[in-house]
Order: sequence, then C-alpha cells, then structure tokens
Amino acid sequence: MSATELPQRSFRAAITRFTVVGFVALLGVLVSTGVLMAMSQQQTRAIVHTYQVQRELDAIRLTTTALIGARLSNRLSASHRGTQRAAQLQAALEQSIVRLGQLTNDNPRQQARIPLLMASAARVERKAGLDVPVEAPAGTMSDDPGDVIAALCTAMMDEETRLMDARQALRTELGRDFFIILGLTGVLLAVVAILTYVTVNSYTREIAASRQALHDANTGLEAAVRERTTELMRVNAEIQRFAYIVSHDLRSPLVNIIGFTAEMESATQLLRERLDMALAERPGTVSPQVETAITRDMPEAIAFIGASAKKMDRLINAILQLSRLGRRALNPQWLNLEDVIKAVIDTLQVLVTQAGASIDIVQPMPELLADRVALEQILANLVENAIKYRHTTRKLEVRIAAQRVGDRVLIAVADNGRGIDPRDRERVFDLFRRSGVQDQSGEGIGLAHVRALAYRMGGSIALESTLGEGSAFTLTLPVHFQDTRALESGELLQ
Amino acid sequence: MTEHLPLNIVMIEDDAGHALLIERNIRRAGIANTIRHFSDGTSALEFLFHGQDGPWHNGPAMVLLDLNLPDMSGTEILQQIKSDTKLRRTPVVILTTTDDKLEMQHCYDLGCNVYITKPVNYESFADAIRRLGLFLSVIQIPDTQ
Repeated sequence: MSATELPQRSFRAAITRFTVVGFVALLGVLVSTGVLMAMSQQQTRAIVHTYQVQRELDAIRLTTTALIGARLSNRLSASHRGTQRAAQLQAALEQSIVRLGQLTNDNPRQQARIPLLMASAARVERKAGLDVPVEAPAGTMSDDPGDVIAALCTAMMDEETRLMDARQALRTELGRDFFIILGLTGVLLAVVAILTYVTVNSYTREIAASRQALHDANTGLEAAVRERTTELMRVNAEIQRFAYIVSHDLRSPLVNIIGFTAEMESATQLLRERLDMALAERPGTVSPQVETAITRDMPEAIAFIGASAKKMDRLINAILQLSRLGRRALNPQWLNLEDVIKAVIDTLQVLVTQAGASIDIVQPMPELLADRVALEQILANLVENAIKYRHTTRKLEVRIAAQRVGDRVLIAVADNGRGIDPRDRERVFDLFRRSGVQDQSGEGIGLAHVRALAYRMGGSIALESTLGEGSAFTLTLPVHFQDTRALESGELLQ
Repeated sequence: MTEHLPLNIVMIEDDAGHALLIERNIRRAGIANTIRHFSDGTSALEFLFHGQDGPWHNGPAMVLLDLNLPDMSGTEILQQIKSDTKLRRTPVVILTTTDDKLEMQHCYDLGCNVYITKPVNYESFADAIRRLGLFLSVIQIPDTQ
C-alpha cells in the first residue's frame, strides 16, 4: 500500500505548490496593476491640470490683446461703453492671472512668473489708457507690457509643454510596465498550467497503470484459482483411484492369508487327532513341547492370524467404501428436509426403541437441493452415533434442527450423550479414529464417511461437544447443490 | 455323473496362492479335469489361441479368469475370447476380488458367463469354489469343432 501512497502524497504536494504559485502570481498582478493604475491616474490628472494651465495662459493672452485693443480704441474715441469694456477686460485679465497663480502653486518656476504677469497686466492699463510712462520691470527686454505678457505666456506655455511631455512619457512608461507585468504573469501562469498538466497527466497515467496492474493481478488470481482447482480435482481423482487400487490389491494377498490359515487350521486339526491317538496308545513317546505346540501354540497363532486378517479385511472394505463414495455420481433434487429426517429415523426405529431415545425434530424445516442418498447417509450416521454413544444413565434426547442462513442450510444434530473429549474433536472425523471408551462395535468409519459426503456435497461438518454432557454436529450444505465434478466423475469411473 | 466331460479348465490367475486354493477346492469338489494354470495374460492368450492342446485347436474348455493381471486386464482377455468365432461359446467364469458393480456390469456386457467375487472369508471362498466345481460337473458345452 505504501508504494501507491507515496506518489499520491507527492502528487498532492505538487498540486498544492502549483496552486499556491498560481494564486501568488495572480495576487501580484492584481497589486501591481492597482499601483500602476493609481500612478497612471495621477499622471492623467497632472496632464489635465497642464491643459487647464495652458487654457488659462491662452485666455490671458487673448484678454491682454483684447485689452490693448480696447485701450487703443478708447484713446481714439473715449466712450462710456469703451471704458466700461476695458475695465471688464482688465478685471478678467487679473482674475485669469489669479487663477493661473492658483493652478501653478505646485510649480515654483511658474509661480515666480505670476507677480511679473500681475505687474505687466497693471501696466497695460496705465500705458494704453492714461498714457503714463511706466518703467519697464527689471529683467524684461521690452518695456511693452503686451509683449512682456506674451513672452511670459510663451515661457509658461513652454514650461507646461515640457511638463506635459514628461508626464506623457511617464504615462507611456507606466503603460509599458503594465504590459510587461501582464506578460510576465501570463508566462508564469502558463508555466504553472503546464506543470500542473504534466503532474496531473503523469498521475493519471500512474493510476491507469496501477489499475491495469490490479486488473492483471486479478486475472492472474482467477487463473491461479482455476489452475489450483483443476489440480485439486486431479489430485482428488488420483487419490480415489489410488484408494480403489490399493484396496483391491490389498485384498488379494488377504485371500491367501486367510485361505492358507484355514488350510493350516484343518491341518492342525489332523495333527491334533494324531497327537491324541499317540497320547492314548503310546504315552510318553510325545514330548511335552510338541504337545504344547500342537494343542496351544499353533491354534493360538492361527486364531490371531485369522482375526487380524479379518480385521484388515474390514478396514480395506471401509477404504473401498469411501473411495466408492467419491466416485458415485450425485443426483441433486429438491428435498423437504423434514421428510428426509423422518425417513432416516424410520430406518433406525429399532435402535431408537431399544435405546428408549426421544428424537425431537424442530419445525419448520427448510427445503434444499441436494443428493438424497448422501444426505440420508450423513443423517443416519449422526443419529446412529448419538444412539451408540449415549450416556449410560441418562435418557437419550436427540434434537434435530435446521435453518437457512443466506445460501446455505445449517442442520444441527444435538444429543445429551457422553460427549467427545476436546482432544478428539478433529480426530473423530479421520478414518479409523474413534474416541472415548471402546465399548461399541465399529471401525471408526462413520464420521470420516460423513465428512467425505459433506465435502462432496459442497458443505462441511462441525462439532461442538462437552465431555459428559453431549455433542452437537452441525452440517452446513449449500441450498443449491451444483456438482462441480459432474464432468469429471465420468473420468473417475473409468 | 459317471462320465467326465472331456473338458480342460484354463485358469488365468496371477496369484499363486489363489491358484492353489482354487485348484485344491475344485479337486475337493471331485472334479478331475485337467487344469492349466497361467499367471499372466500373454501366455494365457497364446495357449488359448495357438496352443496345440489349447481350446482353439483342441476342443472344449472353460476359462477361470482373474481380472487383475500384471500385463493386461482380464476384461481384455474376455473380450478377445468373446469376439472370436470359435472361442466365443467357451464359458468364462470371472473369479476376482473386485466386487465393483460397474466392473461386473462391464464383464457381463462383454459376454462373461459367470461372475464370482473371491470372498475373503475362507469358508465362503472354499464353498464358492466347491459349488463352482459342482457347476462345472453339470455344465454342457458345445463342441467347438
């Protein structure tokens, strides 16, 4: 898991980094744009201001010219109206100069020229109107106030034009800076976008690759399971065949052992008759050892050989039976579990009655699709065991209950018998293994048989038991039995 | 039963002990016919089909056949006997340890005349062989010639 976690973490870190860089860049653009705009606006205001100054200068120039004109015409024909107009113009001129002074109060160089303008304006009146000689103000080339005003206005105009040019240049520069910043930001955003794209893309590829890997692993797993299943089936078939062959080939020498033991027994019988004759007719000719050999040792040996061979035959038959069990084709059909249990109890009725047992079938019982014979064999074995291994002093009570859980049916056969030692709880399902006091006949086949059948039907069997109190076997079977070995059983029967 | 059938008994049995027990018990049933014993399938087939005193060349016989032979299955010998025009009427008694139902069915399908499982219990075995001996003494076999 850590292998997939690591790229994920680095992916998250990269994405966070790119997002932060992108936002910082945008913020930078916002701030610098704001600053540039403010600066640009200031320049614009300054330019507007310059225009106002220029307009005022033009007004002064025009008013001065008009004033001079008015004075001249007054001098030729003085009239009330003319005088009045000159006074108006004079006032307008002075107002313009005052406004100019106000407008240029941020510029000392322009401000310095204002008093001179004022003085010259005053002189226009005197010179043109009253014809009073006035000395020209110091620092001026001409003593004509009109010329002085015009010269001053031109100088001021030049100054304003110079300022205007500087401000225009600054504004252009600001505009350029703005575009440079905009361009840089664009580049930065493009870089962030590309890096993000690359990261996301590689991450997506990684995800796709890991998904593919997962898919491959799954497919591989399925194949592995299929392979294992096939192998298991083959091994199982092999074991079946093996058990079958072994049991048959083991039986063959047994026929000899038992057969010749019997021959030997009848031969011993003859010897015994001869011995009896000899003892009767010529006592003392037979040594006690020979007598012991014929009367005790040989029959003893023969009896043991015979008994062992017969026991071996029973064991071999058990193996054979189990192997046949695995070879039998199952025939699944819908079964009413209650009917099956009742049929089983009926066949065991003699034993049940002898034991004085009470058997309780808990209602209701589910239905299931299973092989009837196999199910009957399992239940018969379990009930028979309950009867066989009942408690010596208690009345036997067997309780059979069943319930459906999901797609499986659980069948429980519980008794109040002598119970099974915890150590033997797995062993009892092994072939030829038994538990507790060996006071009952049997070879230890029943539960091995039960388990083999349960497995064969796709189920399992479990045991819970308390020694001295009782045992409970739980058979778990699928509700719908599907014979996965249906195809294979043909091969097994060959 | 004054007249013995001029009948050879061909016993094909790989286990010497079984062969001895079978022969002994047949004799105990009072059967005196010649018993030819073969312990493998190849030599048995050779005698059946090509032996000068074998049944193909020389008259009626009956075959006691074990199914588990070292070199071939007894069913193969059975099949060969039953598919031969001359030998197919020869009675074949399968005497084997296998009591598998399918095996039994297979043998009867191939045309075996009697199928006997060797009982492990010796009394039953001896009894079965003795009964077989009695059966042999009354059986009528067509002349193969």
